[in-house]
Amino acid sequence: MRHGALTAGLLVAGLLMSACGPSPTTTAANAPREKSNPYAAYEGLKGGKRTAKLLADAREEGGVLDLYTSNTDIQDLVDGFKKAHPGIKVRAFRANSETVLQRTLQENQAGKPQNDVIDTNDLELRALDSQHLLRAYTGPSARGLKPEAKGLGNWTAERFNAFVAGWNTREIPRGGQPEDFTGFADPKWKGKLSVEVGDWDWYAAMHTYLTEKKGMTEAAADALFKKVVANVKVAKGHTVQGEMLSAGQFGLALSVYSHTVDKAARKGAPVTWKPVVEPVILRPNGIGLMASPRHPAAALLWTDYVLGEGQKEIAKSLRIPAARHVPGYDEPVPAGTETFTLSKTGETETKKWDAAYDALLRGAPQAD
Amino acid sequence: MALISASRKDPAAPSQDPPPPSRPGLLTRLRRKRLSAQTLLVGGAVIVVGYLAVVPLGYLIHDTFLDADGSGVSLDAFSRAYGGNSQSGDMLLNSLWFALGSAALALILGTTLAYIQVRTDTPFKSLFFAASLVPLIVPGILYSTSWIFLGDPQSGLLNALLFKPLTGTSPVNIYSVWGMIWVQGLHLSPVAFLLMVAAFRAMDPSLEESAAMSGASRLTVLRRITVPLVRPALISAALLMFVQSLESFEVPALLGLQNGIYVFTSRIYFVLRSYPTDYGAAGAYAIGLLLIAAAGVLLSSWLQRSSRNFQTVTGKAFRPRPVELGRARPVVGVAVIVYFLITVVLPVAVLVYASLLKYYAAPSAETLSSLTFDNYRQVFDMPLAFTALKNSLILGLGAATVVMLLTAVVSWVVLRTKARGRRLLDLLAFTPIVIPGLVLGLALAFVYLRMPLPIYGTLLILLVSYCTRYLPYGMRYSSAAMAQMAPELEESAAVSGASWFQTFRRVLLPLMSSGILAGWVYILVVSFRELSSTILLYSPGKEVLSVLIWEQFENGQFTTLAALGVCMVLLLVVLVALAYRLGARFGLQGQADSSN
Repeated sequence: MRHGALTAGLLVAGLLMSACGPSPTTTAANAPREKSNPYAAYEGLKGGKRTAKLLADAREEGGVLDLYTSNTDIQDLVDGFKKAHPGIKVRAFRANSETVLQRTLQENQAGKPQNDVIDTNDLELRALDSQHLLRAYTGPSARGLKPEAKGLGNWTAERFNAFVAGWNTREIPRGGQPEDFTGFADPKWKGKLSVEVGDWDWYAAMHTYLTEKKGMTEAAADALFKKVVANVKVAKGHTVQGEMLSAGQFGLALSVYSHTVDKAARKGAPVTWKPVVEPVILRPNGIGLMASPRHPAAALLWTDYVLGEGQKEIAKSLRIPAARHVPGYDEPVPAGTETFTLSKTGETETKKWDAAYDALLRGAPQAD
Repeated sequence: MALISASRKDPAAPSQDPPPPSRPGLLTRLRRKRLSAQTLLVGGAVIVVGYLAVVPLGYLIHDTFLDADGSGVSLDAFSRAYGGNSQSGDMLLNSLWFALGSAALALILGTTLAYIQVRTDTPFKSLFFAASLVPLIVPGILYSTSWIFLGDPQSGLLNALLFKPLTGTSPVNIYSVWGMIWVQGLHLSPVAFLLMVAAFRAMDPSLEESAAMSGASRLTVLRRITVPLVRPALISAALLMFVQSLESFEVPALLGLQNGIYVFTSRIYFVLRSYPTDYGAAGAYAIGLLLIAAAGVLLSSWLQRSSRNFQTVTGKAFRPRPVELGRARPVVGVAVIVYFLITVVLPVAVLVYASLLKYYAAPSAETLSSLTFDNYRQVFDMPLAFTALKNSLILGLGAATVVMLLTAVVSWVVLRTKARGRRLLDLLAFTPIVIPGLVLGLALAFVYLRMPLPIYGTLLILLVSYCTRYLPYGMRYSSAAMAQMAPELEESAAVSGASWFQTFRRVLLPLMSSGILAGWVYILVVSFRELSSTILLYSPGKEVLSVLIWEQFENGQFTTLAALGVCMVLLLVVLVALAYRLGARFGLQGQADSSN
């Protein structure tokens, strides 16, 4: 018997060896495949008729949906969807946005796409879109969305993450916060501020805001950031940052998510982000229909839900919904607040911003 | 010491000193023989280990040295990685300093503890078990965060509750190189402890006794006899911990960044987080680490060149007799308790405390009155908790068993045969330690997406990934154990007519059992927290615990995370205790065998 097992083991090893023959290549041909639109059959359908047809077809496809997501509150949406459409099972792969992107790219390069829908950050969705892997959503739920949630390419924003300045109310006295971001250059903040080591997109947006909206020169914005960074402690990970803020290990976090602060405050932690230190940086997080789904009807059913009824779940988890109005919920960012969202052009220079932020924190000379 | 007569020339014995001038390669010899159990087992193990190591290494080298358009070989990736304003020189120095310090601290702590536990009649022996393993079980991110809450210069509990009232100062600053070395050293010391316990167990104390009888002082015995005898294990531990510290980013990221202490791996982190990802540059960094690691492996085999010096498991029976501490016993007892308090009780207490809070705040009447079990309820309510636990168990047990069996055979090939390429095999089996987890994940996804076998999207791909990742650890544990054994036992078995397979199973494996068990425990424990390759390779329905931990971590639920961490510590302590109880029986049997 041992002999048999050994032989089998060797056989497997041999098979593996022979199969790894082709040398790895990361530049697999990935020419845009203009295929027929898998969602065409449902275009133009509306209301109950659309839902009924989608549901029937989704069941026929196997009654499952394969979803790749970096949304850590996805379980609320999955539960809500299950309630709305009990027959469809959601298989969710959850990982950070970089991983979701890498996995999707790898599977598509190998010609084995595994997911129907993707739910992740704007940057990753833009990367997928540039590889022609997404299909635009044209369903009825798009109508209720804010204008800035649409027109982003072949994907649609489903929620916004708001980078805000959040502080510990025991460490920062009432009214002690500045009116806007430029106030943090004051040396009195030394050692009291915190930034996160990976938040280059926040940096890109804030820097662009200062030059585009505030009329600063590049050099002036750089100088301002240098002064701000002289006051900061660098944290790793928003969770540790948020927890240390609650514990009072620093007074104020410059780039924390509004929902992180709100969730901590809901549990009683002495933290807040209001009155708002302007600007609030908004980053769309979105949903994309895959160009080659295995379950197109289920994909549409999910997207209809997330951009429609599901917006309530997003509001419930204290995030900023993409819908113009969610019954029973107030918009977290107060009306009249100065907000800023990075334009598409800014997003295309990711390498530059990433390197600049890294160099800024390290105190290294900026690369050209 | 091994009493091998140099004149023996037994054709059945696989190893002989001195080496014959030229011998055919292992594979040739294997081919020449009929398909025996030995051929199959040894050949199979070598092939599997080689395959496991070559896939990610090949992927890495391909991405590093090939031009982006795939047309030619270039070194551009290296100038992108090390040139410009990357400050990689400074960072490498920081890294080396940090890695040397941590490895030294861990080696001293782990070895001392192991010696006291195995070789003395110290009180509180049972505490060692927890003291040596808990820091290993607690995920790095939680262990570091606990130390932040303990050692923050302003609000840290040690400063606020202990030093401030006593001395009026706040001397502890965890955000320094020393703080980083402290946390990393404590976190790593189990690696040394596990290896050294095995080494001390397999050591014949009669040598020490003879030295003592000849008038050597205790210190001299330690310096001239004990330490040299366990050199293979010491070197293995130092090498593992040094390279692991060079390669880790958790502790430097959480503790070093606050004061701008950047290490080498922060470059890898930086390169891997951006899109389009520059895998060439990431590979160039990994190859830099690989060179350091390779130098370490070669140095260690050079240091072990006179292999007979360490062979303490011989045909002679021995019974390890504890050193009587005498008057020092209470002192050692207190030291053990203090060590236990600092490395286990303090950080775990912070975790338990945090897990009972709604949000972290320093202890006060207010926080103590609002303790709650909500976080634990949330952990048990997670819909995936049970699936994840089951999958983590399967993978942890599977990877630990597969790796230790494979490396037991391969370490035999490396240490006992004169097969050509055995050093290369040793080196190859060490390479996965420097390959970033994400790159390993990508390499495996690349291969198995293109393979007709149904491996991608199943638990098997995670098993392959874990086996690859922990191969270097298994190799070090196995070869440290193998190096202590004199070949005469195998030879006598062979002379008595045992087949190679019988000898291996009945003589070698039992004798190596404490080393193998130590490696097995190490892999089981660390595989529960492997995330960087797991997160890319797992599939829905095949979640593991580390994915759940990651999710809580990303979601900003530190207190829930602490609760999950506490549950993990409890679970693994029970598992490991069981393993040791079972292993103790097996080991005793092994000892009995050796004295026959």
